[in-house]
Amino acid sequence: MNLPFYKFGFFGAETGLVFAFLIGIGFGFFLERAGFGTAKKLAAQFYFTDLTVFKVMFTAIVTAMLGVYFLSSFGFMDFSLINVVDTYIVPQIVGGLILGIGFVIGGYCPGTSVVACATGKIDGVVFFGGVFLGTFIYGEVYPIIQSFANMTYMGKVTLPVFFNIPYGVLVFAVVLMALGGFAGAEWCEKKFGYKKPVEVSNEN
Amino acid sequence: MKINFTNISINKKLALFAFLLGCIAMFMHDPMKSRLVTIDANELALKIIDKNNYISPKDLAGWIIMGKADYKLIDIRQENKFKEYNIQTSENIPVASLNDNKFAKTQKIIIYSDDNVQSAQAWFLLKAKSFKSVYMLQGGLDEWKNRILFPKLPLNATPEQFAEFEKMKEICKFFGGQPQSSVGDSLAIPQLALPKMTAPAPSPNVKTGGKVKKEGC
Amino acid sequence: MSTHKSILIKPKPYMNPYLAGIGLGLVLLASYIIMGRGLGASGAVSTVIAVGVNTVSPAHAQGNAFYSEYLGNGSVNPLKDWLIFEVLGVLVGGFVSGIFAGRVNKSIEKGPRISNPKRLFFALLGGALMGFGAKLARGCTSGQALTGGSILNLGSWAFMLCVFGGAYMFAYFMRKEWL
Repeated sequence: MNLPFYKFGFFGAETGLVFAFLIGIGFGFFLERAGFGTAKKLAAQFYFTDLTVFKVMFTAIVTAMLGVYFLSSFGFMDFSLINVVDTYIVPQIVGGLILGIGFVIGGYCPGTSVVACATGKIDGVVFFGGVFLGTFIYGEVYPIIQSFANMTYMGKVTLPVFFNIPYGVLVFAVVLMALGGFAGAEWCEKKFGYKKPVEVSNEN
Repeated sequence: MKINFTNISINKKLALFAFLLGCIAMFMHDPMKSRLVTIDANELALKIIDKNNYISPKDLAGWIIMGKADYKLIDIRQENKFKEYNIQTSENIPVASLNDNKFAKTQKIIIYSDDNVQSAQAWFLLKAKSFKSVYMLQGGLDEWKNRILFPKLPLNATPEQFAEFEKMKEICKFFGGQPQSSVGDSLAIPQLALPKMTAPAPSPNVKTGGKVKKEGC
Repeated sequence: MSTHKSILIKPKPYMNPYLAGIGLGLVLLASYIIMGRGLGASGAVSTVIAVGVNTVSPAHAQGNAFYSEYLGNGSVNPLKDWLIFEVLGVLVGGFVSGIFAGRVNKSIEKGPRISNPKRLFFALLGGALMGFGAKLARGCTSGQALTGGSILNLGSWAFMLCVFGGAYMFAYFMRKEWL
């Protein structure tokens, strides 16, 4: 068992930054491949015409989830060393709602807006600037909303622990849910979406 | 249209594969409950006979006085014994809880107990869990008391021994001990309850030697 | 209809979303395997903002609990941040993919019923809301939804549901922008 490599001291923080860059390249590459550099495709998710966001996101989640699960289960990876973000349930719910509204107004999320910037979309640049603005406002307002932002702290909680269901069963459930969602997404797109299953940009 | 057909077929194949993996997942060993470790027996055997696994009480005393902070000093005894007396800057992690620690594998760890026995067992446990830098306090607290807290000057001391003793006196006073000027019969030396120093709180977010920053997103 | 001038070759169709998703998932998995952490985006923005505020007014930054979190304890340059390097990589990766697919062009993405200035205003507004919400939720869709979701983090799943919920609920009001 010696995964994750960094946590076992195979290399230092500086090398970790190089990996960050490389991993980021992969991240940006596939985001753009999927078409997430354009706000129209992203926003279409919320009008049921193009559910690529759902498909890509959940395929990615299922892939990584299965990978982590199997590697840890076989003893190659030490699951306890994986960084789990703290759960602050109420701020995360409120933050999620705000983020969702921002998503459909702006048409991007922070990650995809970077891809949009890379492919020359001006609205992506403006959006990314907006993210800076929003973060700055949060920082300035933080002393006032601090107690709200830190309420309902639950530590590092995962679904298996919270619902007291075995990890493997939840993995299966997530896979099922995702597959069901994909079937539903295909149906939705046929009914509401563009005639062509794969979008080709027209114009000029 | 032919291309479409192949596409759908690929998707169905992927879906089937994912479903299979999901089914298998249900019956596999829960990684969150995992307590298994893989030990390289040869490597571990070599490390055992390596003399560099020990820290002498004098070295440790020097580090504490200098304020070195690149290591974690762990007292593996029970809590009540820890409260009675513990070496400054140490943390109390009884052996039973040692397995749950969240230290980085590269973190330098020094363990001590009353003597060498339990700290050697704890050393083995941590080594098996792939901690790279684990050391034991040579002789444990027994040796610490003998050398640091209550250093003794032998009856017919040579000049070198005398000079050594003078040096030890300073160190000894730092830790609140009492230098013994002659080897008498073993006096019933009362345990000195030193005030506990604020030990660094075990925080899984603190990177070794780096900035105190969360690994967030 | 988006106004654009196509620079290079004719734009190619997008990748099969499931294959793209697998690619993304493998990148995320690689991040876990190599670093023991997942992806992210909003954290990089926070660090840059914190450093910026610190440059203009160190007292204000270090007195503020939020900014000081991203400044660290001074032993390492806060800009040597994992997420910042990762976001730089995203920029490069997105560009590379865009170039190969002929999708790099200066344009403004929007629906047919809205004007450019209005669209840009909404982009700014949306971005600001996102930035604010992301900090409240300790992450954005990349960090929380993708990363936290794949390790079945409770907060991440709750967050994900709320993002979709909030967006769907509000979509009706923004239909003039997109449809």
